[in-house]
Amino acid sequence: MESIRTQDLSYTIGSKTILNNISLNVPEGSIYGYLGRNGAGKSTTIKLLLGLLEESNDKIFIQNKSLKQHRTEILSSTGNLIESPCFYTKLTVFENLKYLDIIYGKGTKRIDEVLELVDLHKEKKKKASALSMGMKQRLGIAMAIFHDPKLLILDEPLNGLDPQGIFEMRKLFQNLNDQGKTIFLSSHILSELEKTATHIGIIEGGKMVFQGTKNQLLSQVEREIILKVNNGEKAISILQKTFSASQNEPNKISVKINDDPEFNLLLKTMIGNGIEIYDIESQSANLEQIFINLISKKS
Amino acid sequence: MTNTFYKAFSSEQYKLSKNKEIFGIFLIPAFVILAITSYIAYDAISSGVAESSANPWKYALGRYVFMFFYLLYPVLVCLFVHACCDVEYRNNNYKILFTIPVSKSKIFFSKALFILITVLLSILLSYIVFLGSGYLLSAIFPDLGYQNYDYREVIFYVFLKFYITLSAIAMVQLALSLIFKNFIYPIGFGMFMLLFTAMVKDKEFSDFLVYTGGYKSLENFLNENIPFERLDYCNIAAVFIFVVVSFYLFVRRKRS
Repeated sequence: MESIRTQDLSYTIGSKTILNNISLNVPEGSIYGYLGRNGAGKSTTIKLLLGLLEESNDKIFIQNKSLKQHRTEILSSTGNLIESPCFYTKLTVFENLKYLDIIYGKGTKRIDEVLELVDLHKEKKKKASALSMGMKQRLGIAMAIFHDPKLLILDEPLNGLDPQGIFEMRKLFQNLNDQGKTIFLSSHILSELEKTATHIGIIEGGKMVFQGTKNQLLSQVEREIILKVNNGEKAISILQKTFSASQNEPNKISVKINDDPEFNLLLKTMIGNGIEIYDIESQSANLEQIFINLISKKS
Repeated sequence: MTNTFYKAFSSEQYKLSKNKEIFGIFLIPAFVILAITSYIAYDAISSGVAESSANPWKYALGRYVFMFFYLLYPVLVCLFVHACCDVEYRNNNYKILFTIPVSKSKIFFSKALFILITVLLSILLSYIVFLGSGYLLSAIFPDLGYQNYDYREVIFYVFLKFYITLSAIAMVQLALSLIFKNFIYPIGFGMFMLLFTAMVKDKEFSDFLVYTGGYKSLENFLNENIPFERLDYCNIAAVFIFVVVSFYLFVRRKRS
């Protein structure tokens, strides 16, 4: 079942198309990384998903319910953090959560629990305006998870956090995900998304250019295999007939392959031609390279 | 169940009552009355009490207090109403307001009701302090003659009409504060209208300008004018009209 589903979602401002037929499928229980360049349409998508921008054609479904028809019901099980963290600057950290408690009725115990989770319990009496950038971000996250939502929609939640903070947030997101919560996450820190996301969606110029599991995305691009062999000259002359291969050092050959069957064929070719293999090193492209590849192809 | 008016009102009340401006609207008018009372007492002590047949409720305490109130109170209301909207403008907090599971109409009416209740409580406090000051003066300085006049009915109606005026001003200012993020425009407009209505108060059309009510309350006090007039009915109508206008502006406002 999908936690978020959109059907050909489009959004225009005047004559400018911001989103063009976006069909999001965010599986329940996943951590969905939503990637795109600045101005690609990420924040617009998120604002539409939360009803902060109006979409008149009833094309957004969250937990199988139409956002247009069940707005308050959906919002009661959705937590969010959009762009910069929002909180009332004149209230203390505790009072900001107390404000939410009045609405959700979770109790003071839950306030302490959440403050403990985001490591803000020592700052609970501090005015929100007096917090550091990283602490403000933590408060934003505390407010997003306060009511124990099934779905979290987070836009750049790691902004302003130091490496320790990023590590702790990653752990928190993984814990929340382990508890069965779906996390829809937009971030420009691709290395972080690579570590946490199970699914990836890439948007460019208002259009989806990829959507699927992280493994599907990683398998879309060539892998580079570096082989240490006994006879580099012989190996390169044989491999260049079938593969895209190059000789880096006298006995080191670099071969680009697309998938596992091709890797199997590579090994068979080598062994079949009597070439001895001493070492195999596999270099996969990372998310950043894939993202840049996809975006540059598109543009 | 999160989407109830009670929850919406409780949360708005919790959040807005942390505004410093709320102390201003409660305490400054009471302080003004107490300061004037102290001045009357000081004057009585230093200059002595002269025999006078004039009603001291009207010509001493009431005149001084309403000379301050007709300008000061609307300004305090303008500042308070803007503070109630500014809390959402800061940090782009409309994103919180519009992503909590409470309908926008309930949030708006909670805000409007909170403003009207605060103004009412503030006026009630001023009314009590005003009456208390008069009774205190009559007890300490019987020669001033406060005990010789029963002016309670006039005081009650003047404060009631003044509350209606302030409510109408509050709703106009709410609409303005929902349109303009910068406080200069709504507060500036309020100040301009106060001065403008002081100039045109004798013209017939001034009854349709809600800001006239402030100055008229001073006249009502001095002329013992109790019955409701066209101005008061216009102000009652203005409360409802501007609640509707503000509601439309709030619901339709850009939320990003």
